[in-house]
Amino acid sequence: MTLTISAPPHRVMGVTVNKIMWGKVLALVPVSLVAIYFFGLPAFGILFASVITAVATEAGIQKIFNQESTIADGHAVLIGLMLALILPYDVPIWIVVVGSFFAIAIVKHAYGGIGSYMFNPVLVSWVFLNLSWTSIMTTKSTPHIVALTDLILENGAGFLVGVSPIALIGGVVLILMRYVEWRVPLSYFVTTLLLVFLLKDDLSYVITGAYLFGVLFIATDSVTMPITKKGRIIYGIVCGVLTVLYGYYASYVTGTFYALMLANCIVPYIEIKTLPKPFGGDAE
Amino acid sequence: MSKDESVVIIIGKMVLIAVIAAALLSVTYGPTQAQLKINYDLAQKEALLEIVPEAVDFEEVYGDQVINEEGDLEILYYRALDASGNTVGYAFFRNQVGSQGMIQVAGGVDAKFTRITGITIMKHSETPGLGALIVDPDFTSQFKDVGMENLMLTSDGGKIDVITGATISSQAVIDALRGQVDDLKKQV
Amino acid sequence: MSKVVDEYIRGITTDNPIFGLVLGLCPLLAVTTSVENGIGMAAGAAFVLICSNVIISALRKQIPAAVRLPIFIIIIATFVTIVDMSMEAFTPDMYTQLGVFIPLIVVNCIIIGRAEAYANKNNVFYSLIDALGSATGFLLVLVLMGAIREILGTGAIAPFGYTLISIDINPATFMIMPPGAFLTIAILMAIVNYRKAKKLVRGD
Repeated sequence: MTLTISAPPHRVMGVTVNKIMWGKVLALVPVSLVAIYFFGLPAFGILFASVITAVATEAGIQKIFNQESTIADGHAVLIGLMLALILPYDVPIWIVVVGSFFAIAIVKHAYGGIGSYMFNPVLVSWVFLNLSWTSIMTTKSTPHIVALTDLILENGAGFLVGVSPIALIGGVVLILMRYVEWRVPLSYFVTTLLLVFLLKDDLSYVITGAYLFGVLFIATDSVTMPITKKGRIIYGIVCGVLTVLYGYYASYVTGTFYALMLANCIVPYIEIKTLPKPFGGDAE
Repeated sequence: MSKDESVVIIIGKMVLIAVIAAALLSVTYGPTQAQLKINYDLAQKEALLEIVPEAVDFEEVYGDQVINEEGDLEILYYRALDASGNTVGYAFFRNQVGSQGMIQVAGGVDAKFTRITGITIMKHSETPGLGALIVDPDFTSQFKDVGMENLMLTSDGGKIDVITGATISSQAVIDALRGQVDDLKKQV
Repeated sequence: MSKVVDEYIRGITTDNPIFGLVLGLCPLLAVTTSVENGIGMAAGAAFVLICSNVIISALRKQIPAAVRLPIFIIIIATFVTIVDMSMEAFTPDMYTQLGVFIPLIVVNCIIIGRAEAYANKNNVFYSLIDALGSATGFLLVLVLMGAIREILGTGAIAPFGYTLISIDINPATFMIMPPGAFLTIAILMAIVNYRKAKKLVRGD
């Protein structure tokens, strides 16, 4: 949702939360299909279990606390789907269930549900799984894009999302349709490329499915990004710097997720510093 | 609690309390220090017997550096003796930097420096669940009777299986042993 | 008699060091990787709390108001050092686990807090009861946290070598790492505050 802070008059756009969430889900369908094609039944099991758990958890929590059901807005489905995509293909199903439950129950709803959480539920849940069961969550191979065909089908994919960077094109379509903010992904992407060239790092390890997923889908989560335009560009740059920092010394795949989570922490600070001044208000 | 207590009385009361506190502490200090020395010696003795199973007695070999106020010399290594007094190997304590802090490894080597007879980890501060698994018998038992030529991680062509996710800690244990055996060859 | 019981219960419920006063979180978060460590820490803190509360209460008429804090600190530090030295000598395993948090009992707000807020104003007997109550409250929370983290983080609760409960799961290392402590205390605190808020609504 492209919330902008500006002076009136405002006009209504046809974009709603429901449309954005289901749009994102739709944009992730191609990569999910490629993952199922490539990894077979296990991948389907992971995707299915994750989405079902996410929806069931949300329904359960809202039932217990007598809240209005928000399953129809597609956010729970999206979280389940996104989490499943950044898991290795050979994880046991119970890990998927635990992760999905954790994302919805603790990271989303304990903080007050959609619009209120501080950290992206997908990221926090992934970090939780990664710290808890490191040996299970460690991928058996690292994606390495050497040829053009690797962009279409990557054989070294560790996470489900890594199978086909090109299948994430849906994220770009969403940006072009103005469903998704463009400043964050653009500044994030440009910063990363710039730093990678400056540090003379190998770009073929950077442009993986996991990284593009981070840029197009995780960083653009409207709840965890700043609400000001200037703030969004700064946020993108911070994401880029942190990603390269992690990637340069360790791995761009896991580095992306840790970098995004750290960048989430400073969002309130960016917002405070970039809020527009009211007309005639005191300059700082 | 009258407000006009003179400074002298206040100071006097503080000194009195401090003196009583000091007396209490000195009463505790004696027995605990004695117990500490006993604990330390016991732990070392146990470790030594474990890492050189053939030995029945150990003889300290001192270096020339003084390590404490009582004028004790540093112990370079221990000579492991069997029942008839022959040297069957050497034992040592070695500190090595791990991934989170110092790891103290106790190791034993045979008299010809061809194989490690056993190890235990005395102290460490590695990550729970990962690096901390170096104390696990699954890991330490791999070092039992391993030849010096095989004292490497399997990925480097040796016989020691790395702990998943804790390469640095695993390597540190190996480095400690290799480094100390090299030193021993010069010292003996 | 009922006042005695009230004073004791107060330390566990409304004036619970962790959930009521939100004091002493630092050792709570750091040492509750297992039930055993929780009990060890609570025992150390309880000893210091009880001794210092009694001594300070007994001396309260003699302690000059102007220098009461330095004197409290001397008394507390003395007992902490005694605990520190004894634990190092007689329970070396637990001492390595608890590490720096034993000496840090000196600056634990629970102890100086009880000294300043209670022992300094009340007689020896009630100060003792108050210290016992607070110590029990602290112990219960530490054991609860330790139990949750130990069972999820290692798959079993095994204090002092006796396995009490053992469940067959692949343990989540996260829970015995520092972030697990924050997560556990956050959830427990949320539950406690949720109940408190409900009580307020009902008007209890």
